[in-house]
Amino acid sequence: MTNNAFWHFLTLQLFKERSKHTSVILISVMILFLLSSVLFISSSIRFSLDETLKVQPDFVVSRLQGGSSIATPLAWGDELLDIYGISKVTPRVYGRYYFTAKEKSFLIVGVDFMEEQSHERLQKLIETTDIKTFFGGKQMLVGAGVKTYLEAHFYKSSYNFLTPDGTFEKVKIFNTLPTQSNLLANDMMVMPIDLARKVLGLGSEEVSDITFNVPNPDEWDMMTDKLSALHYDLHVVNKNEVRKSYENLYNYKGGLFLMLFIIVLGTFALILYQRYSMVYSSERRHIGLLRALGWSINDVLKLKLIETLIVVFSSFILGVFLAYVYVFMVGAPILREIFLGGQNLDNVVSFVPVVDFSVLSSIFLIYALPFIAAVLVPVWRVSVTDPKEAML
Amino acid sequence: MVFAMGAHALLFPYTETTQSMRTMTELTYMTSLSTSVAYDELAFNATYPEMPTLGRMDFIYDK
Amino acid sequence: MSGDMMIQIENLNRTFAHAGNEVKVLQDINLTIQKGECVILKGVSGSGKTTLLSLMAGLDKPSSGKVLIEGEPISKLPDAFASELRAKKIGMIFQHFNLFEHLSVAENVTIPLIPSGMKMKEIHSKVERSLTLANIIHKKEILASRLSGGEKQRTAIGRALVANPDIILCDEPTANLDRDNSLLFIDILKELHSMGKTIVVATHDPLFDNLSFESRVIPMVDGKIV
Repeated sequence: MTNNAFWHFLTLQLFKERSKHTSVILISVMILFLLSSVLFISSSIRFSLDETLKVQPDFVVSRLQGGSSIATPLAWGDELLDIYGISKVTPRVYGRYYFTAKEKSFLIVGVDFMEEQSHERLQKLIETTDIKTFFGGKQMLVGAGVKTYLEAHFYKSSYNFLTPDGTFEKVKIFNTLPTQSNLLANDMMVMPIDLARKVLGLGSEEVSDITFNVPNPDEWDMMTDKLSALHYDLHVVNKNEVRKSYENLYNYKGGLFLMLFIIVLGTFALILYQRYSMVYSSERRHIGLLRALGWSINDVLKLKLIETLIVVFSSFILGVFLAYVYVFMVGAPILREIFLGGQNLDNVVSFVPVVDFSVLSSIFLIYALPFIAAVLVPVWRVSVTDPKEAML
Repeated sequence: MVFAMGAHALLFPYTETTQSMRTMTELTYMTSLSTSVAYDELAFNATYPEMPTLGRMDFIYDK
Repeated sequence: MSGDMMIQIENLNRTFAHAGNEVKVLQDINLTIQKGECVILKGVSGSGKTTLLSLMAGLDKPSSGKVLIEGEPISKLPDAFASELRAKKIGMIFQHFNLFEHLSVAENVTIPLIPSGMKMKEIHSKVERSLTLANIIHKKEILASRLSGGEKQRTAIGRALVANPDIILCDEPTANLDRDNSLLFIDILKELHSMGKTIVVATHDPLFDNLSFESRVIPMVDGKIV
């Protein structure tokens, strides 16, 4: 029956009953937009995280006392080097510095700029600046969020750190870290390792923790046991655990949204079902009338199926497109706070466009199938009823 | 719409953005996401500082 | 001869369940309508004439008995065949017109032809012809919601005639019309009768008592033919 006349009539139905379809499309677009936005943000952060975890050291060891991390002895680094299978042992010095008590905080990261590789990496990061002048005094590089915050509090070119021994340490702001790295560096203050030690109150033989690589992945499981035997208070974390933890977090947040989405969609489907099933609804009478005028059950179902598919596809494409624009072009204002938070420094992140087609297909199926069922089941029930009864 | 999305995705400077973050990690040896949650070093956190949020629900509720 | 019989009704009964009781709307109806005949089912509201008409059109199923259209038992046919029969053989004019209010006159009249698989060009020519016959061609682009009662009735006539059916069934066609429009409707019926259509009208309007063309009045009371 799907000839030109059928398509012509279908088009008529879609355009002449605009108001009926518009409200359905608007609600669908809103639901799909929200869900797609959340999933786009989540996929993008996950992608960025995966990219950086590739170059992250494999393991981190730290010292625990009573369940809390305390300063790790630098000497542990030498012990690690003695273990076969471990390479590239690097101590890390970092910590939280609270600008105001229990309010905003910065992540201070100390870098050993005596290393040749650090020079190269720094130059790569801030291409336009002559880094030789960076080593000429007490200077730091700050993230975009830190820069904005300090300027707002009248610290335009330098900041005085209050150190644990009660003295002040004035450090100049050399440059801002590139905004493309805001996802990591927004709240960071990168400074020479000794300066970081002073600000954080670590001794010369102390570090926050120690990282290293284990090139052979088969040795990873064994390494944890080996290391735990070294010191009773030694705590080991590998980067797979870090990846899993983030995934759990984002799956949790994404899962919450999925649950909400399913609830909203279920309600929406129920409403649609009601609309078509209602005894005195115009939909019911129209179907009865078509049947009375010689349309078979198949003809009616075909019409309604294609009509619904057009609505479903239009809503889906529009919803996903709007989500794409919102997340990857506008930066997802408001919604990004769910993943990035808003309690510490404001973060303006440029999300890397990552479109996971398997996820989008799942969203489509979760949305489309109940929608189509909610429309077609009552349509079928009315179609098989005697036309006279349907037209009442 | 699909064309616009595709064009944007193709023209996006992926390399520049990801390279910047990778260099940041190579420099600092850290992958701590700058997410604003409860930076609470007191609560036991297996993956701190990479994952300062673990074990806390503050990212859902207000501070 | 059975070859000239258009509609045959044999031992037809229709019962409805209402508030736990069985209500017999039609009882043992036996009726034969010849090809080209005009039959008026006369009776007050509740006499069963509308139900009888619905059963003839295949819009309802009998509780027992048979309705045969040109020898085919309409209620026993599979849906595809029954629908095709309704589309090609029967044109129905409803009491309340039953138009799609959001569509124009021409668009409403097109609807019965869509399942036929006809090309748009052919459909357009049939629609034009039908609208001319029903004297509503001048309003073909107007939305059905903007028509008067008489115009809606003529649109319904156009829709009933578009597939050139052999049978025209009218359920209280003048119930929502004034006298002038009712007379206009009777004139159209006369023309259809002259074209050889088989016409059945269910009505209680006294205007149908003495038609100027040959017709048969069948009185109905309490679901029975008197």
